[in-house]
Amino acid sequence: MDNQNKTGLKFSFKNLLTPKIIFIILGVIIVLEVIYAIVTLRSPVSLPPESILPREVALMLSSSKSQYKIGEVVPVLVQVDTGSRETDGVDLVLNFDPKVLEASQGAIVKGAIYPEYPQMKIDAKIGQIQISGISGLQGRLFQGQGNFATINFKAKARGDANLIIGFSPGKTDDSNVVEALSGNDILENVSNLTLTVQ
Amino acid sequence: MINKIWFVILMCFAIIFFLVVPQKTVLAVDSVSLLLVPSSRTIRVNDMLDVDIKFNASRNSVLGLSFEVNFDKTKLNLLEPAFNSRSNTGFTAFRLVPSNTNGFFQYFAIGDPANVAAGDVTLGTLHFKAIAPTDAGATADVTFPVDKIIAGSADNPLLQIDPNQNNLKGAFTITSIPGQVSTDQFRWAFDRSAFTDALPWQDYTEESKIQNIIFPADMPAGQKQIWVEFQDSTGKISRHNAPIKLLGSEPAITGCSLNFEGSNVIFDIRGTNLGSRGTGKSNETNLQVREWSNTSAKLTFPNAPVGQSFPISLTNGDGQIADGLCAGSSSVSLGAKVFCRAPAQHDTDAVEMILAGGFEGGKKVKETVRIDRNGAIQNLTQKLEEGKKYKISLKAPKSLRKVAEFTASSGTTNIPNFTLPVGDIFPVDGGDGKINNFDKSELNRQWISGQSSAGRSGDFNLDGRVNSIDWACMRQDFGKNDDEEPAPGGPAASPSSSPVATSSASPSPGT
Repeated sequence: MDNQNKTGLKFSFKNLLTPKIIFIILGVIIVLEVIYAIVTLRSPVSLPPESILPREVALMLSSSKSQYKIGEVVPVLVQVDTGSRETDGVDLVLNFDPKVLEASQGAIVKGAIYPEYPQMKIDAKIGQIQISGISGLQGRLFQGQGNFATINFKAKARGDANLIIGFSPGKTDDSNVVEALSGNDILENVSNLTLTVQ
Repeated sequence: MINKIWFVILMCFAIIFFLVVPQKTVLAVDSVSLLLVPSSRTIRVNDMLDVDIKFNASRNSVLGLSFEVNFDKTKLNLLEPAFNSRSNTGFTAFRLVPSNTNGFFQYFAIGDPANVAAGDVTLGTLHFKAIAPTDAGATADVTFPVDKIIAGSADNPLLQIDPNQNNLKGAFTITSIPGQVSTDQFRWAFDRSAFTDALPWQDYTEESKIQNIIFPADMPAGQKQIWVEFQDSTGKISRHNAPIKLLGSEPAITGCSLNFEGSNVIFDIRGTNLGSRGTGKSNETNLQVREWSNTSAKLTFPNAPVGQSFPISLTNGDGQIADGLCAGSSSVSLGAKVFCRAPAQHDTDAVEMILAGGFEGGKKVKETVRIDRNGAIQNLTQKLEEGKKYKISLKAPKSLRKVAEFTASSGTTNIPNFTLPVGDIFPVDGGDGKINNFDKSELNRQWISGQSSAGRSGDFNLDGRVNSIDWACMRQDFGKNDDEEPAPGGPAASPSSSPVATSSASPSPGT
């Protein structure tokens, strides 16, 4: 009886392993995987969460592209973000490599966030630009994010050009963002820029 | 045999498919997205409609972006300012063109590759006003024409708009029938019992409405409430309140004596508005509080260094701070922020001082003194009589003359909140007793922010530069003149907003 049962089971299992059954099983697996793949690829990719940090008072440099050819104009935008604090003025001391970039008088285009720019000076020899914008006698204070100035350099020679804002936290003899309420330098962070001249 | 081969082939295919396909991969995409949020809404005529413009760079370092938004100018009006751009988006808008005549808004921006924001970034908000109802079944549309969207990265100057996105268009229904309840009016009071028929209502014109509330100068400090009633378009009134703590007058240190107890120094401080409790520090050292009242405090500096004056900072229970100085010998201190509202880094010499006894028989003496970096007046030869009133006039190089009154106390007499107006640098040979346009011109002439100022008179904070810090210092007192020299005897001759080192400081409730 037992032998008969064993033989019967063996027979049944063998019967199941027909190509038709195997193809059906594999086909179902593949269809399920295709459905899973489509669902997975169509779902939004989880991106790293944006950092939620209080806005720092900052000076930032940017340019429309990172690589320039010799002779091209290299526009560098200087932005200031004062967060929610009203400011009396900004001093920018910007150092650049005079071998790679050149800036002639007239290269500085002042922004509109302050009514008065008492200093827009270029020292082409050492590669330094000094720009100051202030509230002026009308007391037009600035708060928020805005364009402080644009500097139109000219790509002079091949190489990497580092544009570095002179800044040490708390020091007043370099770049500053001056708070109107306290008269203190509240600049916390700077964003420098590296460009390549090809 | 054939079955086995098929089986192996299919299994391999299945395994490969399983391994390769379903992995969730971050794909590099050359498309970007622009979205309108909300993309649909029902509003009433004259309602405001704020539509956020969101951009998703899909991991592209977008260097430039421009687009146009078209809107139904017969139904929607773009308000001024048309666009409130947001900061920290990674884009700097350099040209925004709104046109109600043509029904479009154009946006041009430079992207900052170093500040590429992830996900949907709100570039800004368009503020519309619904000006006419839409026809039945129709909508007032706001759209991005795809051919006017230009986005470029360093790798791909012409990024495509994501073809899968479906909210390039916003469709808004404008009804002429009130479709929702709105807040129409409000009124506020310090006390809810003031909400009577006599209290007028004000129009609630915007969401959110900002209302400046000024507390009466004679309102005592402490916990207060502000009550507001809102009336909606159905006439229903709702009442709300918010607690607010009204701070009292600023605390001040008016005098300080010090004694020694072994290696400890005991500060016996007199002041005003110190509150019922607080803490004290000398530079970075926390002092031990022995006694504390509204007008005095006794604190211990354990193992104090010897032979020096001690800057003292007291913080009352409300977090208000009073600064002062405690010195071993009898002296007068003005506090550390005499110049330019900032702690001084240097002593100031050649300060002209006039001291006039503000009492019957008081005399007037002139001396040249030094103000040290802690604000203490050095070289003061005139002895002060405890409890007597005095008028002091100080004029430092580049500053205006400033007069203050004080009552002499034992130990160190502190004159709180004393700042000298700085900025009188023209004529260059000593000023003219005014801070005016000539001084501003002279400051501009001397301006130098990147290199040494080499002793220029416009370097007020003596940091070796003439820059915005110095302008902020001058601007604070721009337009002021020298105070009159003080006269001895009797009541003082109205000095200009002079700080008074007595307990009669004027109340100045904060918020």
